Amino acid sequence: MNAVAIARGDLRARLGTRKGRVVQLAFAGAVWLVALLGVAPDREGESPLAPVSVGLLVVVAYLVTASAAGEIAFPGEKAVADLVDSPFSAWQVALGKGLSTAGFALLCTAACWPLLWFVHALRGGSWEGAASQAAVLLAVSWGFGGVATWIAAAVDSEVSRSVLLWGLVVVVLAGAPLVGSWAWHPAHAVLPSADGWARAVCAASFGLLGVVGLWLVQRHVARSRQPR
Amino acid sequence: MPEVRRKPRPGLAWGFAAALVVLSPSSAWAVQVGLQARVGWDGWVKYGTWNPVVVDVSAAEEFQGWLEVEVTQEFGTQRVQLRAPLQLPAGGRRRWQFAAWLSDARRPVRVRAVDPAGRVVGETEVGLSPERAAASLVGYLGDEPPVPPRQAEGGGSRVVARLSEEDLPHRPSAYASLDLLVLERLDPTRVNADQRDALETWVLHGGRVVASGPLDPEAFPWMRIGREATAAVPATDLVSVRADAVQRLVPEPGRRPVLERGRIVAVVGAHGLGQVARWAVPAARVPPTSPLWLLVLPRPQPQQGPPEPQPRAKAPLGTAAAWLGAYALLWFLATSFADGRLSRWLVAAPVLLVAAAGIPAVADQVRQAATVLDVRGGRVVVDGRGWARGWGFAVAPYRGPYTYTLPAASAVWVSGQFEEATVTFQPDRTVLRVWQEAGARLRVSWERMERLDPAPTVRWEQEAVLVRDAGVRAEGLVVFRGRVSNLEPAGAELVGRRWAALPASLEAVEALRWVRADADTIMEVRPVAAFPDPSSGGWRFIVGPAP
Repeated sequence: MNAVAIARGDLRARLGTRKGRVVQLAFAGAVWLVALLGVAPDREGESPLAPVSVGLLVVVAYLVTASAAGEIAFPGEKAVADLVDSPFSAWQVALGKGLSTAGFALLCTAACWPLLWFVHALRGGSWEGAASQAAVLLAVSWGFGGVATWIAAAVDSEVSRSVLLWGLVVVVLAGAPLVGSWAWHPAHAVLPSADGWARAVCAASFGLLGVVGLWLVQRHVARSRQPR
Repeated sequence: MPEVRRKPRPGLAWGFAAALVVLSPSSAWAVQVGLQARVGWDGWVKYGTWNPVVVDVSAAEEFQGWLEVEVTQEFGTQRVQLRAPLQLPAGGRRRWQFAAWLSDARRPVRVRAVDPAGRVVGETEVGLSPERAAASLVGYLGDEPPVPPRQAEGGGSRVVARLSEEDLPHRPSAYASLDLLVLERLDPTRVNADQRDALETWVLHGGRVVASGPLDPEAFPWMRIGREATAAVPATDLVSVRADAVQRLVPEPGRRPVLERGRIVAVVGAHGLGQVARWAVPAARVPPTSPLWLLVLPRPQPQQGPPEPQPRAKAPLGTAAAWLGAYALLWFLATSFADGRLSRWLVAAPVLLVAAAGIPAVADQVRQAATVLDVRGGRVVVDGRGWARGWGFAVAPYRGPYTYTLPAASAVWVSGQFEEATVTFQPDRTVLRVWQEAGARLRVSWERMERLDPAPTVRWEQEAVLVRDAGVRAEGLVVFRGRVSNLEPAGAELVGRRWAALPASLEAVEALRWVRADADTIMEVRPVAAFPDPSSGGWRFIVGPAP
C-alpha cells in the first residue's frame, strides 16, 4: 500500500497541479498535431501512418521519460532522492516509482490510442492494429521511464544526468537503426507493417529494461541508506 | 430383477429441441423468394453498353429486403452489384427491370434476393456467352422476322431479337443496346404506361423505330407519319423491295417520302432527335440489300463522355482537425477533472471510452469529406422529356470503403480501379459504395430521365430564337447553324437575335458533345438553347424542332 501511496502522489502531481495541466495540454496538442499528419493522402504506396506511429512513440516516450527523470518537475512530486530518507523500504520506493511510471505511461498511451485508431480506421484498418502499436508505445515508454528513474537517482549533476539520459534515448531510438535493421527495434516494431513477434520481442525487451531500471533504483536507495 | 423404469426427462427433450433451433441453418426460417431472370434482348446482348435485366420475383409470404443483380467486369476482376429495395405482399409477384452495363462475356449475371439481415433467400443466374453477343441488335415485334444487313457498320454481326410486348424495357437507358426496333404488331393493352413512356423517351432522344404493320394510332400517336392508300402498287418496278404488292403511302405534312424507282414505299419522320419510319411492306420482305435499311439503321457513334480530369486526392484537414481537436480537448478536460484520483477516473474513463467508440464513425466521415466526386454532365430536353447524363471522377486518398451519393438515376456504370462496388437505387438518390485502394481512380457514369411540366419550348421565328418556360430568366445562350446568341428576356420569353459566329471553343458546345455524339448535326439543323445547370455539374440544353 505504501508503494501505491507513492504512485498516487506522483500521479496527482503530474495531473492535478497547474503545471501538470499545462503539460497535459501541451501533450494533447502535440498528439493532435502528429495525428493530423496522418490525414495526409497516401501517395504511391507511401502512407503517413508510419511517421505518425514513430511520432507518437517519440512524444509519449519523451513525456514519460522526462517526467520519470524529473526533467519536467511537478510541484509536490517526490523524487527518489527525497524518498531515501522516508520510512518506505527500498523495494516500496522502487515499486511506487515503477507504478507511477506505468500509470503515467498507460495514461499517455491511452490518450494516443484512439488517435492512432483514427488514422488506421481512415484506411480501413481495425482497432486491433492500433492496440498492438499502442502496446509498443506503452512498453517502450515504461522501459525508458524505469531507466530514467534510476539515472535521476544515481547521477547528482543535472547536466550529466540530462546528457546521459537523453544521450541514451537518442542512441537507442535513433542510433541503433543506423547500425543494423532490427525488426524488434521500437522504431520498426511500432510501424503498422511490423510483425507480431517483433512487437512482442520489443515490448518484452523494454518491459525487462524497466524492471532492471527499478531494480537499480531499489539498489541505489538501499545503498544510499547504508552508513558511510 | 425389478424392472427399472426410466424417468421421463422432458427437460432433455426441450434442450434437444432448443439445440436444433440454434444449430439449424438460419435460412430455414427466412422467407423464400422465387426469382426468374433474363438478360438482354431475346437472350442477345451487346457488350460495352446498358442492357435490360428483367427479374420476376415472387414470394409466398410477405417479404421486405433487397433485390441484387451482380455483374462482373474486367475479366472477372471487378464485381458490381445493382441493388433495389424489394417489397412483396404475401403471394405477391412483381417484375423488376435494371439497366446493367455488360462487358464480361464469360461470366454469368447473378440475381439474388437478400433479407434485411443479409441472408440470401433466393438466387438465380443467367449465363452469358460470346456466341450470344452482337455488334448490332435489331428488336422485332411480329410474326415474320426481318432480314437486315448481316454485317454491322462498325464490323461484327447484326442480329434480330424477337421480342414480345413484355420485353419492352421500363427504363429508356436499357434501349442503349438496341439499334433499331421494328414493330409489326404492338398490342397497346399489353404495354404499360412505363414501357410506353420509356419507348417514346428513347425515340425522342435518338432511338429509331420502324412501323410496318397495323398500329393503334390512338395508343401511339407519335408513330403516325404516313397515311396508307388503298391502291396497290405493282412490285415489278421495284428492285429492292421484292413484294407482290406494295401499298402506296402518302406522307403526312412535314414528313419525308422515300422513293424507289418512282414509287413511295416508306415515309421517314423525325420524332424529337429520333426517327420513326413507316414501311409499306412487311419488314420481312425488305431484303438486306435494300436502301431502306440504310435509312433506318444508325451509324456507329464514338463513345461519349467528357475527357477524364486529373483529380488530386485531397486531405480534409479542416474536418479532421475539428474532430481530433475535440477528442484531444475532451481528453485534457477528463484528465484535469480526474486530477489523479481513482474515484474521478471512474467517471472520466467511461466518457473517454464512449468518445473513443465513435472513432470509426469519425474516420468514415473524414474519409467521405476527402472524396467529393468531380462531376461533369448535361441534360438534354426534347419535347418536355429530359435525359440527363452525368460523369463523376474521384481518386481515393486512402485505402478503404467510400460512399458516393448520386442523383436518383435509372442506370449507373462504375469503372476504374476497384474490386467490388454496390449501387443502391433509392427513390430520391443513388448510393454507390465501393472499396478502393489508396490512389485508385474511379469513374462513374449515370443516366436519369425527367418529365418537365410545363414543357420548355424553343422555336425559330424571323431570324430569332424564342425560348419559353425554360425555368430561368437569363444567363442562357442559343446555338443554331454555326452561330451563337445570348438570350435576353422579352416578356414571358427569352429571345436570341444578336447572332455571332460560333467560336472555336465554347463550354456549352463542348458539354453538348459529351452528352450527344451527334451534337454538331443537332446544332446545325435545330436551335439549341443552353443554360448553366449547377445541379447536373454542367449545362441544360433545350432542343427545338427543325424550322
